[in-house]
Amino acid sequence: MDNSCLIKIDNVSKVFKRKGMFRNEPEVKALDNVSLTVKKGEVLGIIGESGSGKTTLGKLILGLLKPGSGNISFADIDNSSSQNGKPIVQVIFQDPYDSLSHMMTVEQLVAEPCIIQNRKNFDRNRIVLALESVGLTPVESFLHKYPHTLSGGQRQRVAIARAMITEPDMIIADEPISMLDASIGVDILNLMLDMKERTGITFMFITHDIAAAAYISDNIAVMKEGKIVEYGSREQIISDCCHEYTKSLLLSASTGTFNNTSFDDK
Amino acid sequence: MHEITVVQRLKSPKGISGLAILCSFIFIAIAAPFLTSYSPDDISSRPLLEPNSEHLLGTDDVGRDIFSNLLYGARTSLAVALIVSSGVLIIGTLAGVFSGYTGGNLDRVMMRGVDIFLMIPDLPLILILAAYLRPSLWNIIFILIVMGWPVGARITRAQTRTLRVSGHVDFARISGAGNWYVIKRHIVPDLYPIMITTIVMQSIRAILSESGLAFLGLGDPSYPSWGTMIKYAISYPLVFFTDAWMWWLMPAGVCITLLVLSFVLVGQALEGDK
Amino acid sequence: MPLLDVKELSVNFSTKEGVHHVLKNVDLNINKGEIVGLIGESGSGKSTLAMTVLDINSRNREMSGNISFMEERIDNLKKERMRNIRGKHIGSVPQSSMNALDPLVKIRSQFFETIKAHTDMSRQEMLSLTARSLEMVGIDPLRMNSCPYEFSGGQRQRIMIALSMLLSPELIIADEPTTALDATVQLKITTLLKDVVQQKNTSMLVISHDLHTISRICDRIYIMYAGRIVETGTRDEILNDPVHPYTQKLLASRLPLMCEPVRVKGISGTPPSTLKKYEVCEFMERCDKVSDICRTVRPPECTGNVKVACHMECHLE
Repeated sequence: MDNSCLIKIDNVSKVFKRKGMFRNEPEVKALDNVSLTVKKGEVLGIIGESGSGKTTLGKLILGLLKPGSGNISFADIDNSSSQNGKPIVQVIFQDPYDSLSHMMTVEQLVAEPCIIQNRKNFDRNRIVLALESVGLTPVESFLHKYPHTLSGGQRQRVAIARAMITEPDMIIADEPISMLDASIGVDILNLMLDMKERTGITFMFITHDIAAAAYISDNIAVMKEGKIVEYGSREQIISDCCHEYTKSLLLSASTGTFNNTSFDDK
Repeated sequence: MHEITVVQRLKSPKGISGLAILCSFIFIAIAAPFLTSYSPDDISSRPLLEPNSEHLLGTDDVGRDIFSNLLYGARTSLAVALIVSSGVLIIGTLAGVFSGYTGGNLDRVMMRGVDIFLMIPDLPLILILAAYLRPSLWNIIFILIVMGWPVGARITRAQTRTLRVSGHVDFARISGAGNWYVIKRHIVPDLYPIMITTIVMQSIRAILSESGLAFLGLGDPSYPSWGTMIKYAISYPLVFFTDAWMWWLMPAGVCITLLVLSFVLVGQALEGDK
Repeated sequence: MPLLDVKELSVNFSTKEGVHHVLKNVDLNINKGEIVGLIGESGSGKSTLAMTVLDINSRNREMSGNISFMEERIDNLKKERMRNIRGKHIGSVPQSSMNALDPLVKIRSQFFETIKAHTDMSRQEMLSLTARSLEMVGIDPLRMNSCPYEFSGGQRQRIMIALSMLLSPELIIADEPTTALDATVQLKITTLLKDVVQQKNTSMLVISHDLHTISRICDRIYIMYAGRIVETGTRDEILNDPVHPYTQKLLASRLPLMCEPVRVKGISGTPPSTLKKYEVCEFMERCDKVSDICRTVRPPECTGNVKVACHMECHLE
């Protein structure tokens, strides 16, 4: 495998069968022969509408689902924190309400990946550092809070802190800002960009919002109905895309721009 | 539910009154030998005495002290409630979590089994079994647990199914957590509210069933029971023609009602009702 | 006289934790045929304003000020009368309205339910009205016998809009009509809202946290922060010439669609608690244009001719 590749997805398909009581429901093809490589240190944006299979792709990489056909190969990585030479992949979910257990304090939540991985001996300072790095300061005032007392943006920061604490090689962010206010979402995107600059971590950013993807990504893949319809660098996608669907996405993102067109003369 | 919330909720008027009644019953049950000098089975005096300083609630038709029967009856009721509810809780939770977490065909088979248990009408089966097995307290407890756990398992399983696909469980798995860790840290803690409801509901059911069976004469004659007291009182032909019902029949009925009420109040308080 | 006129509206909710000051001295009006946008972040009280106008949040509520609709005070009407106004005169597209339809009840029955509650039409009239309103939002009228679960999220949102327009209300309140929809669908829904308002000649109040998506259809915009209107103006005024630092920051936090990587600044800090009573400007903690006067004196209220609740505006003049 190429040295610069972190993950290589090869002709992966995934079909969901729905079992009915008397007859089988029609199959849903979530992914249809998808091939994609994730390069080391890049931010790869995956854009698609709901039902396009973008979340399924993330789940396959995370190992939460098994591919129906095709395979996903990981690069060998020299990383002390990884046991089997496979890169560590972490995740930030869309819904910061559902992804943080409401029975745990912020400290327990952030410490969890460490506790799972090396049971007892981990440095408590790492929790403090992780929370500081996501801007939850003063740290002491947050450590013993429960997630339901935090705002949506703060919860998403906790989610980022706990994803970062094991120093993963890659983070899959599945619609991390779609449930947040626009201005708070920008802060989360900036935080992710800072993380990438500081640690060189690879991001896979799954979203339905082309503006957000264009803001953060180096390369962008556009998905529709389980297929990748267009892949290219940010510049390529924004300035000369070929696929109709990408064009319609760009149009919907730009008609809101007030200084070029007003609504009526669209 | 966090510890703080539990304490807060129990501090509501309902919670406090429920706990007060429950605690006084527990105190009575524990301290029974010190509160009365008679054993509940002893024929201690002449039958059908009216309340006096020696027999606070008089004696029944064979001369047993009603007051001491009442005190020791609390022991029986509370013990049955405790054993049945914890039995149902343990078996129901284990089965529910196991079935819901494993999923697939095993889950399907187990749930059909539970469905069969749920289809059998409770009371007739208890009556038949209680009649066939020797009437002993342990048989009653056994039957109540056997008939009770499928309810617990069903609710626990449904909640486990929801939790199994929730974001925080997914995150723990991605971080490399095993099944045991996920169950211990992410599923069981989320089941606490359900567990509390199970304990409360099953205690109520156990108390009422035990008294009911005892009233029907299927109880254990070797343990004093409020149900048995009511049975004897009612079957005594003259109980309603004299004042005897006031100290013979009524106290046992009031005790059953109060004990059940205390559980209901505690349960409602824990659900956040003020 | 505006169609809807909200004057000096303050709303508090008393809870266990204390009194939440959710709306503070809000002035807002909507003229006939206008689309007015109400923009604010989550927790700023924008949905509370909508629910207070519709009077569907009266539990634990203390309110002062007055609300007039079609020249009639509606803030202390009897429940029956208010129910008559809701649906018939004020339509509402509620938050997460995609889920506001009963998934297993036929579209037709859900429409009939609304019609029957307010008028006594014959079955034939109801059918044709339902068909017409579905057609207006681009749903095939033949599908009125289907259940909502057979439709996609965007289609359900269209049906919900059709339902809110059914009895040609004078005013429609749409709470976050595009949130939770895909980007391309968002564009279609906003376009539809605009078309529908023009076609039926009604007025609309659109509530959103997303200034950029909503601004394309609004005639006038109110910016709300911590329960207060901080700036108001026509769409062009707000978009091209914002004065309040919060509005400026909101506009600046728009993600550009550009080839060169740029950094956009969000609004740092957290929204203020509704439990606290502020003696000075609520936005001070997150503002980077704080001057001495901000620390001591309350900025002007956004009422009457005052369009910006900020000291800076006074200095400019």
